Amino acid sequence: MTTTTTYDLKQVIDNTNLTMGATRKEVGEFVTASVKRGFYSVCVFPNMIPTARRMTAGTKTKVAAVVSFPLGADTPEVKRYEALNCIELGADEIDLVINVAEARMGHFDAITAEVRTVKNALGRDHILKTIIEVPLLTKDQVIGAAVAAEKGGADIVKTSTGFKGLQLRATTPEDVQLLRSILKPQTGIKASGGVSTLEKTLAVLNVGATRIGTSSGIAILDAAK
Amino acid sequence: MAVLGIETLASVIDASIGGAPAATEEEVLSFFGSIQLDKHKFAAVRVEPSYVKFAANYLHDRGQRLVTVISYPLGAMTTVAKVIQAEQALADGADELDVAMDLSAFRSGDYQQVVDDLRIVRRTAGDRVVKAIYYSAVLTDQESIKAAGLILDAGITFLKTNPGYGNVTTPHHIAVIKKHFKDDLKVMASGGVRTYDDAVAMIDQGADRIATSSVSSILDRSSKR
Repeated sequence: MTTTTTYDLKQVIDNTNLTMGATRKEVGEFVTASVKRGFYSVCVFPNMIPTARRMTAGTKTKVAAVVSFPLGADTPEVKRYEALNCIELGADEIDLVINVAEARMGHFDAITAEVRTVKNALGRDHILKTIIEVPLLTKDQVIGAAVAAEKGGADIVKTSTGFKGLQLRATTPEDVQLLRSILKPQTGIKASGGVSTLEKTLAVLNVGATRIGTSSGIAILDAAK
Repeated sequence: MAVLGIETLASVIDASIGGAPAATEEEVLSFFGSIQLDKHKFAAVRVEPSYVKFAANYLHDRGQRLVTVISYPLGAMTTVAKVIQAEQALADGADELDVAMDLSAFRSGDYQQVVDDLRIVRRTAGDRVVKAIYYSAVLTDQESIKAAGLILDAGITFLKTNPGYGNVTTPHHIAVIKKHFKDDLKVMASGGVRTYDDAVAMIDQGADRIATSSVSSILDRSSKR
């Protein structure tokens, strides 16, 4: 078992607040606390980017924003514009939900195309994470979608939205292991959705996750002390 | 309780697909088949934004109206993204738009943002029907009345209670709005309306429309009355 000292935990965590209807004050306090703990980034909704930007100004903590979240059911052009709008507002990184229906239909070229559309717009300066929603897919669909997203230029493949309304199962180390076995070494893997304890965090890091998405970042750091 | 004939009931239903998220084309067509579009005239049939182009001709050829959703289901997209989504939906053939209010702005007390955001979408939609989702499931009665007033200020005269995904509408939610706004606002009951009795209870309180994914069971029950 790898110990907590092997990883700089705070630097692999996107500390996340995607609470429906959270107020600016609530998100502002969340961001301030996240900055204080030195997380790699805060992950927020697009309408909270200005708040997050203000609270991270002059710090190393980056701002990540979710696009086409949580259903991914927008056209590629809409996703492109939404992503660009997020960057304009001050987001550093984009967490994009792929068109999960296309994955379920085996239309993997369509996924490559939409990811490429967004990645081309963002350029090299902004990391693009693509959420493939593993819990809704078969193993073959996971492989197809992940490889398609990588081919389209995704910097990181992200497992799940963790959207409560869909009652999705949690991401498992096996999910991460599968992705690690098929993706290029330089493609990152973000484990998210039910990764809410230190134990779970270490388990997914041990099998190849390079980033963690969780709303429990502070509790995880505290547990590692 | 009122007793409603099957055609009257169908005419106030926004029919949507239930079951698995990220429906495939086959599942969407199977849903269309299941609700007997040649037999019933619905208020509208709902599809996800990425399916508007696919479904528009199919539905229009059968005399049905198509509704899609904007900033859905969490209401956390920016105004710019909402306008882009709306423009795409209209270009692809949508007849109606259900747009989510910026719940965070509302709960942050930034009422001007709530109004400005929706007003721009209202203008973008031209003469099409626009309904605004105000999340009655998470608001107090007073907050619901406040939100509805802001939506009216934005020029939108049709409310949709909730986006579903666990946000359940009660007949009381409908009564609160109807008592306060009378005929100034129409209301669609959306979220947790699954049975004929649910539907009639909403209509008894003044609901102008019902959104449901349980179309067949509601209409079957109606035909047996």
